[in-house]
Amino acid sequence: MIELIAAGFTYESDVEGRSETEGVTDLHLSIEEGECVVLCGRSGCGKSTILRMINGLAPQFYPGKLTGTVHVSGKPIASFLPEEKTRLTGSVFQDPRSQFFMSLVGDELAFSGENLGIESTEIRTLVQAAAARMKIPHLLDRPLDSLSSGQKQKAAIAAATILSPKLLILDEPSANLDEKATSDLVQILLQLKQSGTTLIISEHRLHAFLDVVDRYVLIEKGTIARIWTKDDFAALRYEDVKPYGLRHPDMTRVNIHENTNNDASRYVWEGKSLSYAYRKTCKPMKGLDITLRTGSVTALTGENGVGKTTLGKVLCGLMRQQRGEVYYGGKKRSAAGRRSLSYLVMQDADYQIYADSVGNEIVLGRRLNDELRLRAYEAMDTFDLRALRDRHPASLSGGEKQRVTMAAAYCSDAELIVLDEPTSGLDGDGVLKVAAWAKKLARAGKTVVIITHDRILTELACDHVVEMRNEQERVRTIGP
Amino acid sequence: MNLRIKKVRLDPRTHLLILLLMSILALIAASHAQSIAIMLLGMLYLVVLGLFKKAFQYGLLFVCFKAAVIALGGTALGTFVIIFYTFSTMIPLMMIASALMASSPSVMMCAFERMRLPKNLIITICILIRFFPVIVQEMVSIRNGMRARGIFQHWYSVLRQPALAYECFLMPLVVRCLKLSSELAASAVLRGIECTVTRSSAYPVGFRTVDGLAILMFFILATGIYVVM
Repeated sequence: MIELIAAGFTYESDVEGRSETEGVTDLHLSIEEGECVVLCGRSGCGKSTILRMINGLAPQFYPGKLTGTVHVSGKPIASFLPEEKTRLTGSVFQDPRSQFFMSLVGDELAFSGENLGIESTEIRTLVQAAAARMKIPHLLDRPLDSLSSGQKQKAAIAAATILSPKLLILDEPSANLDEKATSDLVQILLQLKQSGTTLIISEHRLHAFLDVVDRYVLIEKGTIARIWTKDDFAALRYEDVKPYGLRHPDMTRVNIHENTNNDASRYVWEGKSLSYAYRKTCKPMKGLDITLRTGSVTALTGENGVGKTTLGKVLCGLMRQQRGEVYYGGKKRSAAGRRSLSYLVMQDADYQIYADSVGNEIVLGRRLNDELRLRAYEAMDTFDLRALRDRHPASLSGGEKQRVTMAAAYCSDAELIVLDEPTSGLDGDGVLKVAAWAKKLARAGKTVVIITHDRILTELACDHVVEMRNEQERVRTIGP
Repeated sequence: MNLRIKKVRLDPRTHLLILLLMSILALIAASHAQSIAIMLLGMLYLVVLGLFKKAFQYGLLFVCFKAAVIALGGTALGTFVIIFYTFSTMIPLMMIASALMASSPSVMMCAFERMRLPKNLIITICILIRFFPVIVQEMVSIRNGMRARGIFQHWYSVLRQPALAYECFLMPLVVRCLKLSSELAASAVLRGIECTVTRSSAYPVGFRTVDGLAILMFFILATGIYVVM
């Protein structure tokens, strides 16, 4: 199905700088029809570039130089007509928001068919069939904005597979999904594989896909370093994959040498009988109690749409609770009062970076004095940012941007720091780093809350786990 | 797919023709009464299409502008009167255009292609329309990001440092828009937007009796407004 012989690609340097997506060289890989292959490796190792070479976006869309041979179905991908290519391949991107062209699910599914000029009644039959395969017929009339992450991912796969392509390419499909949605995704992929579709997936959460994958291909520094069969990969221990920066379920045994100070602290954040309802996608929360100690790391977990982020925003004062109170240090705090005491690090760092240099970013919005300057240097040292001090934040890689927002949180006066899904789309090393940073923040005396469905991060970094369920809440404490 | 047949659906070309008629009418209308009648005609158009919320919003906007013109009339702020007056005459056109933009991009692209508009232009128009709500969402996210960092905590904080606020807003917006637009275009390419065959639509596209009726009714009412009033 796919044949890569001494294939390589170098990006033409462009305005975006592309610090994240380096080129790839000397790839030799042959993928059979009906096979499922996962590309793994560190962030920025070139996985996405390989996917782009196979679907023809590189160099057709991303300018650069292609070397060697890239054959799909026995022909170079560049020699296909747009019609042929659309029928042969389907692609699903990491961020579903940016790949939807229409506003309604049904319209979105029909898009490929319309481009090919397929007759209207036939398109509707195809749309119904694709929706039935993904079990989303009830969503066809819904606006795409109103869907949950899992539903969006299903809609994206349905839209990519409407013409039953022989090849489906998925770029980090599980990045925004919780465990249940991920296992749903694996079932869908299994079904596609059984119908003969060749699947190429770039992923960080590797073990979740064991049921469907045939081979794992490790990419390091832009070339293929190892290939494991599914059974070989399943037998690997964490020590075996650690040097490659991969995720492993046993990662949780790692000891992060940052003890949080668990001495009974005077200051405690308390939410008492909080109630809030927010949007249609979230279920309302009623009578929720939560206690957070300073200097500790607490994980807020639970399925997508259960209201984790909303609780985080209520605690930070970004949203008002409808009922109940939030106390800090024994005093009742208004939403505005909480806002001045807290810092929420959003999942997407792009929304929280504003200044013209890393140094200015960390102290942004506050009057610079000697004390603050000292603290900013301390923050830069803690998060390893000294060397990047004068760089423009927009030119940094995703991981570096995340570090900048963490350092800004460290440097700020905020007592409560909420991290929203900090490890989505990160490799094994990235997860370890985030866990260490969270502990650093806690050690600096902050109260840290991590909203996450990443079990590895929860086990690594958190002293307490608050698992949220519909209309009730359960607190489970782990660790010493 | 339920094709939302509950509402009256007009061909995008009908909207365009009516937009043209509306422009002419707005241009030649002179009296105060006429401008109100034109506004009502625009509202009627939206209501018939089932766009009640839009009809109400534009109606309110019109009243505000008119009120501003009356309130400022005779004061030294003559320039503002002209601005508000111009806006108020533009509202009926904006209403028809919003009816066009409310139709499915799928139908729009197909109809425009039948009008033999160049393909590049059609894609540009549709991406632009797709991008409006995205930009609004992105701006909301950036605003939330600032609040979450504790920058510009109060609504009046922006007024204290407007230059800084502008800069803080623009940088992430540009970065996000560059990223989103390139990914959106890549996705469209992969899904066959460059195919040379004439595109189709999952919806029926073409002039129907409703379109003829709509144009006829609009023409009669518009002539009525011009001649009678």
